[in-house]
Amino acid sequence: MSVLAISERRRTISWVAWGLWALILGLLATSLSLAAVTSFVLVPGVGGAIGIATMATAATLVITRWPRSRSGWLLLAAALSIAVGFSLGELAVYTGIHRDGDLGTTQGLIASAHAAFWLFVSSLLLLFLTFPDGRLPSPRWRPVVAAIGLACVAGAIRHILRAAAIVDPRAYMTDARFAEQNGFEGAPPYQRLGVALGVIVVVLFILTAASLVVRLRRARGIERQQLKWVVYAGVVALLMFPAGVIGSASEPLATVLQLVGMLSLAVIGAGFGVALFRYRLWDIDLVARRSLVFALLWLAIAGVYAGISAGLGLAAGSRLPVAVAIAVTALATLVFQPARRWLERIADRWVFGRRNSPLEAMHGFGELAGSAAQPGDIATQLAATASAAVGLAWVEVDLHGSVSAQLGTANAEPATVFQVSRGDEHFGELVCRPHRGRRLTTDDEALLTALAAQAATAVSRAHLASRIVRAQEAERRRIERNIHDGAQQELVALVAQLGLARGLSNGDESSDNVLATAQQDVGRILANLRELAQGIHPSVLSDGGLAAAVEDRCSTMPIGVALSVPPGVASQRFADDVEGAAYFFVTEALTNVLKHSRAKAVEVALGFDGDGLTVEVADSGIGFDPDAADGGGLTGLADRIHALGGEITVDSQPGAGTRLTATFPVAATNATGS
Amino acid sequence: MSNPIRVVIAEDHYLVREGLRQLLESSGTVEVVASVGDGSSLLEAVDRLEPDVAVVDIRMPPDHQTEGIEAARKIRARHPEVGIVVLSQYANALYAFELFQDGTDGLAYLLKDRIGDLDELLRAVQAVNDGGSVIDPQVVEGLLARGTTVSRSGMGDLTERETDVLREMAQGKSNQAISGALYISESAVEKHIKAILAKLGFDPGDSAVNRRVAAVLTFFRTYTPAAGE
Repeated sequence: MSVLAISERRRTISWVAWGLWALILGLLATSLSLAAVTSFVLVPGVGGAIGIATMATAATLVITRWPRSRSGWLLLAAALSIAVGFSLGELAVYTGIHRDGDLGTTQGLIASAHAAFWLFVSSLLLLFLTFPDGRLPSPRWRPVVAAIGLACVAGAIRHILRAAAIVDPRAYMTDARFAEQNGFEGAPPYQRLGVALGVIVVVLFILTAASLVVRLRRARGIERQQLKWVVYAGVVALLMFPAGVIGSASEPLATVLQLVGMLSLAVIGAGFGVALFRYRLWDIDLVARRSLVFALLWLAIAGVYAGISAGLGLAAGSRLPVAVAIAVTALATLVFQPARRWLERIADRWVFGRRNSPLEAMHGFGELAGSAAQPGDIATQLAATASAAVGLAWVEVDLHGSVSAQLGTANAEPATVFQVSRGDEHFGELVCRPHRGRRLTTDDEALLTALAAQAATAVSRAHLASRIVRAQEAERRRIERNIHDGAQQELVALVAQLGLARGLSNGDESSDNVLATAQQDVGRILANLRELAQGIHPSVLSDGGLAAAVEDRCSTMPIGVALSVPPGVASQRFADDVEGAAYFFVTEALTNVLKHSRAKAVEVALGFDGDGLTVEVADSGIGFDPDAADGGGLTGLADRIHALGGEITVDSQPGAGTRLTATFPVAATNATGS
Repeated sequence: MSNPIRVVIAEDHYLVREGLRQLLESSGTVEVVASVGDGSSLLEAVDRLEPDVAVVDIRMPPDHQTEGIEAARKIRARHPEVGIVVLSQYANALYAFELFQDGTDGLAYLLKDRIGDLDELLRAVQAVNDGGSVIDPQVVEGLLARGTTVSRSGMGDLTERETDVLREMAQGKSNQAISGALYISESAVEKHIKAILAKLGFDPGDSAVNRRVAAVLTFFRTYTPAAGE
């Protein structure tokens, strides 16, 4: 029953709202018809009508959805009052000027139009003051509401009295300056009230704006997004509104600028509508940043335009010379781009914090994830990307404790933690703290989650790469061991058997010869096997370490080798995979020297400075162009070294020798001397 | 005929161990008193049987790395009179250096391939039994090649004259004998030796010559034909 009653009530309210909407549209249609007859502010009137219709439609939609929305009703009241004011004003012009009607009626219409305008101002102020729930930020704001009421009543009274003093409606309506001086009978004392009222209204607007900023800082979640839209709409409208005023300075633009001024009403209506319905329509921060920059620029250009007009001493209403107009336009075009960038940077820094669009963020980070990055790089990059994309005060990436990166300054805002994980694999956390008073939106969280997932993929890949290298290294060692302990041992046993057989042949020369030959053959096979095992993985590398193995390899070079092994490195041991990659880097480099360089001598140097191992092979041979050459055997090795977080650099040019350097960001595992 | 040389064999591969045992025993000059499969059994057997010579595989359980050398050092420490022949799969001199780092007497480093050549094997067993030392010729070849191509950092190459002096030193000649053999003054020989030691990275004033030099000297002493002392 009660549900039915409520739904019945809702329907009634909705019908009332739509009825008012129809009334507003009817008033607008009437106004425009009258304006078409009298040609009084016709074009701006069209803009105003569009703006008012937008406000009314947004308000009615809001009321239909939420019948109790105070903001919706206030918006509808604002639309209705300005529509009434508009139509009464047009009617006054029609009867008072076009039809030369009765002065009293005209005075009454003008007075009512102004009173309606003051109703509009007060509704609008209250709307901004109480958005989005229709309540004041706190009881302390009550005096402001009272002041709004009083100011508007005073304003309405002043205008009513002023209308009563009008003696020449034509002069009053058509010439603003004339209206102040000549449209009246004398200058009544309430005229002075005008300045004071103007100041008070401006103060009230500032107070309302301040309350919006305060609420924006306090607001969280949805309300915050809604407020952003309203603030944005308010600022844009504020920037558009003066257009009408500036417009009066130069005739060719006046109509257009007044139109823009009127359309600010549409911005307000649309702003509230989006705020209440579709606050996630766009990323408001980005939209606001871009459009505000353009609005500011536009305002600056318009100001310059108006300034030049005034500077040229042109009376209001006269035309700007064409040459000056062209020059100003050209100047504006030239200045536009740099000024836009400059303003965007300022907006970035002061208003919104540096932000990339989500697409930019994903793309940039995707590129990194596509390269063979190490967990350290991934952590740093993830922190930077997250910070740039969402605008964070503090971001920390912690990849399993071993690798971490921080950016920004920590604050007391609640931290949001995103898991860097992929399937069952968990790699670490991305910890984000927004700027003070801000909160991560759902879109922000979605983006950060996606970034964390992408980082997890990259980390997983880096882990996989180093696991593969490690497995390959272990496999090589296993094969080497199997050769030594398997095939080689069997052959040694065979050699022993052949030796025994020779002992049993009792001086039979021919059979001894056969057995001796067989022994020599097996000996050769053993030597080959030794070389094979050496090539797969030198036992010296496992047993003696990198320096010993490199020295061993150098000793078999047919050209002179100058080997530089600092005392600290000679007995230094590193992780198996690093030793393997570094050793095979040297052998591959030496093979290249022999094959291509035609060098007479080569220098091999090992270096270890506590946080990195450096291996360098330099010759003074014919060199080559590194850009033109394919890496050859070094390419596979480069992958292997990258997977360990290392780098290969090739420094060569034709005729100037070649220097190959591999670096490994490693710590020594132990210092077992041998 | 004198008493046979009492030998303990340590080798983890059964076929090699048995082949080795049969070969040595077939010579009639060797009595194999025990054959074991790992380093700790070897130490236990040496402690118990006090053989003349131990023939030891370099790779043994548990890790198949250089357990043979470690066992050899332990035997050397506990029973200095026991000669040791290390049989190795590696022609690399590093392992020989490893074996000889505390002295060369009574130690031999042979490639396993030599097992087939009974005479050579017996010569090594005999040599260590007599307190001498042996390095496999193939290891020596590697060392010779190394001397000509690699110079270690800060040491520079040995000059031709210094190499001559080193060769003479390796034959155990005194400074006086070296000066006589190379037709240079004794003070010149001293200067060369200091330069050699400096270039090899040792303290030139240190007369207790370090392990690497000892190994190099051992190789020269053993395998360079004595040039008519």
